[in-house]
Amino acid sequence: MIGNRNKGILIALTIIVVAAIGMLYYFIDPNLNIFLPKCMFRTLTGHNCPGCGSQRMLHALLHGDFAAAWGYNAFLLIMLPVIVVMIYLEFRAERFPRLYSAFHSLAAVIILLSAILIWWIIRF
Amino acid sequence: MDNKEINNLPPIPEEQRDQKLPPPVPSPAETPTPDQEWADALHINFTPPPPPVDDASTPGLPPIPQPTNAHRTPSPYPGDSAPNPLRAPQLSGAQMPKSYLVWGIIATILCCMIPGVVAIIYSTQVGQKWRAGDVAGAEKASERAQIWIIISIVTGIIWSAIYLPFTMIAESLF
Repeated sequence: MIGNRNKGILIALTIIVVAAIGMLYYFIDPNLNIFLPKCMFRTLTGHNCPGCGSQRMLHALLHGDFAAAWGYNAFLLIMLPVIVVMIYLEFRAERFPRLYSAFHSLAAVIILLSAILIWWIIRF
Repeated sequence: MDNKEINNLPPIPEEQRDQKLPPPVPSPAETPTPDQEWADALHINFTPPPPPVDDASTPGLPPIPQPTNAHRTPSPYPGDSAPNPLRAPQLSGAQMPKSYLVWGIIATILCCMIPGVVAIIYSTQVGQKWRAGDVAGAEKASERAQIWIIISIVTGIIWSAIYLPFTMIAESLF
């Protein structure tokens, strides 16, 4: 079991990591920087994967360019609030047990996986 | 006794009303079962079977005393009225093991589809097995989901490290 103290450390660490990623993608343009890794699937096969364009999307989003962000990866732009809510629920499962179990139900997972699959087929 | 007499009766104080309520479950000694009546009629020694034991309570422990006014006063805790879906029905107090679902989804979208999808499948098994009462299976599925997420993180880190030399070699070759 995770104690309260460790939980606090974990939350602080998550905030630091998120802030660092935000800073990184605000100041570095993935289109111009060759050191940022490109998608493994795309490098090997030449096709898009469901997450391709997420770095460019994040860079555009941090600069307030929603149209460009939508163009780079529309699915991830829609999924971003859902992912934020789910990460929050990971730490606050006890406070919102019904919402947590709704997000973790089999139906929700099947919907999510099929959405990822459909998005992949659309942009392949 | 007509209505007039009832109205003329003195009001019963609050404490005595509770005491005058009949006990909710009559004890077996007071109400003889049909088996006991037959045994008495036939002059046979009859030992009644033990009462059914609740699954929740251990037979060795004394019964939990119930407050007499429990049916009147609502519980001050909002969670008491509804069952908590994260708590197993047979293990009150035990917490469902972590399913790591969100990390599996992030791994699937951002980095590695195959380990990510395996992690998501194990994550769904955590909840399913927990709700079915399979605590050991849920813990095992949780551990496996964690292992597959670690595998995808490690794959992502290795890929990030070898990406640049890999693409440079690939471009020089083809």
